Formats: sequence, C-alpha cells, structure tokens
Amino acid sequence: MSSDVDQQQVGTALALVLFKVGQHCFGVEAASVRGSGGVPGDGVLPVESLLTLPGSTDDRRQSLTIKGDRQDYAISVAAPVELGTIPAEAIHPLPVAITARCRLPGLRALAVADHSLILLVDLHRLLQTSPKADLHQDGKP
Amino acid sequence: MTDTNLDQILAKRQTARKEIVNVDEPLIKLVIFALGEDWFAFHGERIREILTKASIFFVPGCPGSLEGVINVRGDIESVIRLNELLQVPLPEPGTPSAILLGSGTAMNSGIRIDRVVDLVDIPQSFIQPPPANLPDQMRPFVSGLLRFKERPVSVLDLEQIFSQYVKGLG
Repeated sequence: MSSDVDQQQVGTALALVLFKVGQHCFGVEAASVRGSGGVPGDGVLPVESLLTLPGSTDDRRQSLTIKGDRQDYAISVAAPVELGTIPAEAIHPLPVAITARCRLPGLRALAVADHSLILLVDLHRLLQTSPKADLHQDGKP
Repeated sequence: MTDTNLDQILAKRQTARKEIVNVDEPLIKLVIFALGEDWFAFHGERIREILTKASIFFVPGCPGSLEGVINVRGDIESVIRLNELLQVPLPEPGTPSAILLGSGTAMNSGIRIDRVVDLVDIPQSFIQPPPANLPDQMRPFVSGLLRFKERPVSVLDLEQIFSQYVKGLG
C-alpha cells in the first residue's frame, strides 16, 4: 500500500498562486484562482482583512479573483503575485499544536521551499464562509 | 581510640550500605534540562532528539508559547515553550537555547529549553513523589522529584503537558 502511495507522490506537484502578507509567504491552490489582474478598485476586500492580519503598508496592490461556488470573489493582495509549483513532498499537514492553537483563518497546510515557509490557505472556503466577503463578490462592493 | 569510634564507624558503614545501588533495580533514562533557574527532566523514551541549532519559521496567529515550526530533515515539527505553562520567566532575547523533540499520544512537538544539563540513567527509587509544597501551576505536570548535582529536578509528565497544551493551556 505504502509503495503505491509513494509511487503516486513521485513527480506530483501542486500549482500555487503565491503572494506575501508582510514577511509571510502565502500560497493558494492555483485551481481555485480564476485570475489575477491589475490595480484593484476601491472597496475590494484586502486579503489581510480576510486573514485577520495587520494591513499592508505597501502601496502596490494587485487584484486576485477567487473562484466561488456561485460567484467569483475579488480580493486585493500586495504585488507581485507569482505562480509557482511545489513538489508534493515539500507540502506538510499542519502539526497538531498548530491545528489546535493557531488562529489564522483558512490555514490548511505548510510547505517549505527554498528555505522559506509557505502558508497554504484555502481562500475559496474562507470566502464562502466569511461575512466580510458578502459585500465583495466579484469585486463589486 | 574510644568507644565512640566503633559507633562512628558502624554508623558510616550503615550509611554507605544505604547508598549502594541495587543493580537489579530498573533504571530510568532521564533528559535533565534547565529552564530559567530551575531544572526539569523528561523521561528519555519521550525525547526523540535534541537539536542545538534550528531555524524557526514563525506562523502568524499563534499564541506566544507556540514559537512556530522547524524543518527536521524534511519533516515539519511545531516548537512550543513551557515557560508560560510552568510560569517560568522567559530568557533574555538571544540567550542560547536548544530544542527537545518530544513524542506523546496527543501530539509530537519540539520543546524549547535553555540547555540540556545531562542525560542520565537513574534507579527508579531515586525519584520521589512530588512534594506537597509544589507551586500550583506545576502540580498537574510534575510526576516526581529527584536531587541531581545537589539541585532539585522536577520530572515532568510530557503526556500531560501535550494533552493540556492541545486543550489551550499555556
């Protein structure tokens, strides 16, 4: 059984959309992202607000469109947004202590790449359940 | 030569006999470590590894006692500190420290300590029950007490620490 699993994991990788919040690198499954655009309009929900993190002082912002079940959601993130691929073996489930005690909304997994930690968040699910997202569907407040 | 000399000799021999270790008694492996001014110990079978150097990745949204995660040869481990749980003052920033990799039923995690004092095998009888005057915050986590190098060492119950940590204590 384990060898089957190993064989399945060899060569597999996850495409991620990567962006930064402060010093932290965040990743979202690329499959859940419709696209990334230019400068977001006024009132677009900042990702920092969604993640309950301090707001960015970076003036350069970029919009990100996250797929929703019925409607897409537009959020703004600090530029630049990058597309990356992380090997499956570099992606780790959350340690029990993090699951039990970390209050970062939407945190699903951790990845280590190039000696950096990537916080993998499920923005799709977070937006579906966040009351903050109600007024920001498709970027129209 | 006086009569008391024999008494003294016999008394010394009696004391010495008491100090002789019963070699058949099971030995317990302990990892003794310093945290602040105090010395503590974990049972050796609960400690997988001692790391003297590790880069911590901070994870936002965690309480102060959850320092973050480390990469141990490709595996991610959390790192907690016990200072809050045991109400031991935090060390000055930049103070050298180490991480014990602990295994429990509730979780596995790295545990930040100030330094490892020693790894010892001691007879089970050397560990005494926790004293009645143990501070309240330590009472749930201390399973025994011993003297080592003329200092008291509190033997900690790692299972209890991890299970309470997961429930939000510390």
